[in-house]
Amino acid sequence: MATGARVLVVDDDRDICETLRDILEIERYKVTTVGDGYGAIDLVARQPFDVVLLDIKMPGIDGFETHRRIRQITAELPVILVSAFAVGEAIQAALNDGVFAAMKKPVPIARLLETIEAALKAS
Amino acid sequence: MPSRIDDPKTGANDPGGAERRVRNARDSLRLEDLVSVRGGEVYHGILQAAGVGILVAEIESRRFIYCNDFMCEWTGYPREELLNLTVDRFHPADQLPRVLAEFEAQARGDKLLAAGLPLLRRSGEILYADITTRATTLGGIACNVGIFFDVTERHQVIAALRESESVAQSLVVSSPMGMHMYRLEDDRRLVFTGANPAADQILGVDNSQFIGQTIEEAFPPLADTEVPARYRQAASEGTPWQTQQVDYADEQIQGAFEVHAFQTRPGEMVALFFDITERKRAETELERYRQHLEDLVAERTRRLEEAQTKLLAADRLAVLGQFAGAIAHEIRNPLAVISNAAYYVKRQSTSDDPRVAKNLDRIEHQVARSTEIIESILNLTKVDLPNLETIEVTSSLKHCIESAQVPERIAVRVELPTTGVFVPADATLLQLACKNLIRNAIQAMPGTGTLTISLEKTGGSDAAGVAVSFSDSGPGIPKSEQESVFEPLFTTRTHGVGLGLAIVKMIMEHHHGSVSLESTVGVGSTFKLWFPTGAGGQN
Repeated sequence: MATGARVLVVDDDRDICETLRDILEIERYKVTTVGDGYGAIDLVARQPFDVVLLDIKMPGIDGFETHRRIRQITAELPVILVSAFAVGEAIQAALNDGVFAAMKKPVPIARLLETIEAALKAS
Repeated sequence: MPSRIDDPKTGANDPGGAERRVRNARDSLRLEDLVSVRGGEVYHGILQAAGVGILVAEIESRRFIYCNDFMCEWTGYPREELLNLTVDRFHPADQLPRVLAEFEAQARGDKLLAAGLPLLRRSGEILYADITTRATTLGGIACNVGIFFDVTERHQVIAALRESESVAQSLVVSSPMGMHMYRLEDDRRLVFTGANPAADQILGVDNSQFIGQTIEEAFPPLADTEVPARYRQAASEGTPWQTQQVDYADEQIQGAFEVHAFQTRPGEMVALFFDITERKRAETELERYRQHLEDLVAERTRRLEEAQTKLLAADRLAVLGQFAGAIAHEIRNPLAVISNAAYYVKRQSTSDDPRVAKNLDRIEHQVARSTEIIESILNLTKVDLPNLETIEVTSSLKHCIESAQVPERIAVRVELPTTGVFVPADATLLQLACKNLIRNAIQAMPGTGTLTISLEKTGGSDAAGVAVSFSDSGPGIPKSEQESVFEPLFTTRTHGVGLGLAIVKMIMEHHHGSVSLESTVGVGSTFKLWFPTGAGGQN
């Protein structure tokens, strides 16, 4: 189990952010939430994180673009895409581009936790 | 002319008169002499007033020596001029030999009548005359005394008649229409009397063989038709008759003929006919061609309608897919929140009430079900035109079966060949179709059961391909529902959207293949995917 790993949750749906924070905090992760891509990039630039859960469809810049900009700041930070739209060629491109995993909402929590752990180990 | 009679009182017994006659005979015989010879003015009057021409010619010189008034008026010659003419110049040159022969014969007393001899008017016009001649001696001169009857008019009528007969004859002979002539006897027998050359040519027989036979004897097949009665009516009553088509066949003559029958004179008739066999054949040909065109149009229309129906169905599915897809995506977020929230409550709940946990399970289960529905709807948007590659089917199927997570209650029998089987297909769509059929089979067997997946090659140039069958041992589908199972939104289950089989059908159509169903209630259902491998399936 994780021991205080820092998770950044990026989603424009406030309820998604809040419920994920609640769940992840049960597992003793340190959770930061933010509602858009710009905010996420800003946070990553200012403070360290161990893993990012990133939505794709958001106002402003989308998850793919946010991912590219995050990689420019830090290449090591693992990013997991969690989206209602986790299908198609863009996902495959993102995976090729270094995204650790892409998961479809609603994600079974057990699988989400497994994937976060795998990402932490890999980095 | 009484004024010319110088001495009407001079009689035959005048002794000086005879001498004078002899003296003048070489010149011309004068009327006065004649009158005096015949002894009466009466004769003279009669001769002049007669409605016939009288002309006297000296036999030896063939010179005219007497003419009456009628002769002058009729021929247009003044008397003096006519009496200076000879027979030779009084008739058309080309007729002279005949005229002179007649003249000689009459002079010999062999012949009295020369019928229809032509003679020349002074104007050059030709007149015709029947000439009765008597050779006699007048005043010692041997003469032919000719009485001329004007038959010019009769001659013209006869000539016209001959002309018209010759026209009629040539019409009959040269007519391209066949002609059969009949005569109706008193005993009602209709007897064949002749035919024209065209009839021989059209019928290909010598029609003279029929002359004297009745119509029924000559043309036996006509006996059973209305033709003889119509011909008799034409002959006896003059009622014309025509018919577009008489079909005829005996040993000598075969064909179809258009016939026109009419009376030629009371009791006789002619039937004009021509061969319309060729025309009939052309018409039949045309009719067949027209029918063929109609069939072709009907066939094309049917195909178009089919294509339109398919397009409509595909269109409906595509629009449905786009619309449903957009909604499905949006529903994922609230589902995720519900799912997350339930998870959290379940983890953190301290309630002893077992129903709390049970209800949280319900939430999770229904979220999972909703997610599944969304997946099936989204599959619609994935069904695009296939990207055909050569796919090895058996390994593709094995992969499908493994990832399908068939529950343990269901036995899976896989009957696939050990060697590779290749079909042109879209790998993703092939997987989707198979996955849908496997899931369908699983859902058809809520209890235990057997899912059999098999593969066979189909033969024939049209049917060359590969068939993959998915058989379940479920309850089967009633006949009444078998047609509908491939329609979008059709489902017999209490849950499920009813898109799985519609998607399979769409995928197979995109591959120019097919999906078919065989099902028996109480035994189970078999869905068969058929992929063409022949040239027809490659486009």
